[in-house]
Amino acid sequence: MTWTIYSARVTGAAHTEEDFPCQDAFAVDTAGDVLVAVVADGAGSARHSDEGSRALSDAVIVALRPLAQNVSTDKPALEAAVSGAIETVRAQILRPETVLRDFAATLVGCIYQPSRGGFFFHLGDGAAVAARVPDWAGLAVSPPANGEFANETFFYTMDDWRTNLRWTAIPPGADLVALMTDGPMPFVMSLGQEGLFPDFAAPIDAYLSQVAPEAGSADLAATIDSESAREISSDDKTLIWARWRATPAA
Amino acid sequence: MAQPIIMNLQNNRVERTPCALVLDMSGSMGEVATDGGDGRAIDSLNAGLQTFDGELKADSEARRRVQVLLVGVGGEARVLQEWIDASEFTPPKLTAGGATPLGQGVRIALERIETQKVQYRANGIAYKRPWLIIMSDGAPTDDWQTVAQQCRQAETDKKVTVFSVGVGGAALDTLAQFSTRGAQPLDRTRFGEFFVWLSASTATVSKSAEGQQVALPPIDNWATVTA
Repeated sequence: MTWTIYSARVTGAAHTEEDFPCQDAFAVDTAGDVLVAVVADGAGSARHSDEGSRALSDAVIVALRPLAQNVSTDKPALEAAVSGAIETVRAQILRPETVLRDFAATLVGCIYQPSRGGFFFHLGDGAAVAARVPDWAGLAVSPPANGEFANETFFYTMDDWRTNLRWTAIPPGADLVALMTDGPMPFVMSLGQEGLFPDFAAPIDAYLSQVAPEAGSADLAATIDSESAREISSDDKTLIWARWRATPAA
Repeated sequence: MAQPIIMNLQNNRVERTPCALVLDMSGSMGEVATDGGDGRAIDSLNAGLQTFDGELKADSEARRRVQVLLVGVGGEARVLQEWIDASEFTPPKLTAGGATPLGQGVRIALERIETQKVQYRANGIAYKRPWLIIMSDGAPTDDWQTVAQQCRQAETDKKVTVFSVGVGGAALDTLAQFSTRGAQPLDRTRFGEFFVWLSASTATVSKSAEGQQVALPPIDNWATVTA
């Protein structure tokens, strides 16, 4: 058994038209049967949020890597690592003539071991699902957290970020972990955000089971950047599709 | 070369941008203009609604995301169109008559906005901050002070965005009480421009990303300025 990672990150039409960079970032690491993955979505109105999302993703992965062997039994250590990474980014990312809000981003991540379980950690919008294929409703779901309105959410740069950092336990037995920023959610998540949308998940997973990660990731990117996807949302889009299976595709 | 795995993706989460319009249909809106304006204000308002409808339908995202509620105020205050997607909206033809119970009309709109939010949440539908447009060519003829204060408070509490618009010789000082940004004067000849602005503004808001400051189109092509 091994983790096979398919990942796609595309710049939304809204940013392409204005010559803005993609404000999403992601990072993935595996150590044996342990998966550590993070996606981050920079705030649209924050002028350096692409740097913020990148710095946040990298810092969290680095902080969790040493804890990969304690994934389900040492939650306080995991919480301390993630919170410590956020504090480090908050302390170090500023430079002259910037304020912390310039680097605002959301955060969705996981550390998971199929035999023992794990956790989602989540600040703001975006979503995460751990499923046992083909039950797309999922063993665990971390839904988005918005304010009352769709275009309000929570960022690591806010003073009360600790209050808004959520942890969700994932039971053992999942063989699919999907992490995404807000952009692809309308067509990847089911209505009500209670799991993956079967009409998306089933054909995607069936296809990816037949192709190697590099080619599959490219086709996944083409899917979330298709004309159909752009009609649904002009936002940046990032999707990680991590499969735990016996035989990797050639 | 990379190819999409699925060609036609289904949208499971169409965010809504609710837009409630409280429109004066009182007797004065049916009077022929004597100030150099063109015809009756009610005719211009009806034409403006058609423009609003056409502009929204022409925008592929706005037609799915903007929802419209119409409350008419003329003799009585009543809902002319319950919440409906812009893609399904057909503007009713408004007729003028009666007094101006604007307070009751705004009360109805505020209540409908809150009940619609409950529906959105119950159905897992995300929504942007609702817009409330209040348009009158005169002054309220009912008890309006309490609801005006409630309206301003709702805006202060970020529950709704309010634009109060006074047509022709409207009582702007009174209409200003309904919104924290005061009241904007609208020339009777510029209903079309106003509704083009409204459709463009709601479309822009409906497509805004999280945390994005939205730059609305300028109002100077429909708002009048007192020299």
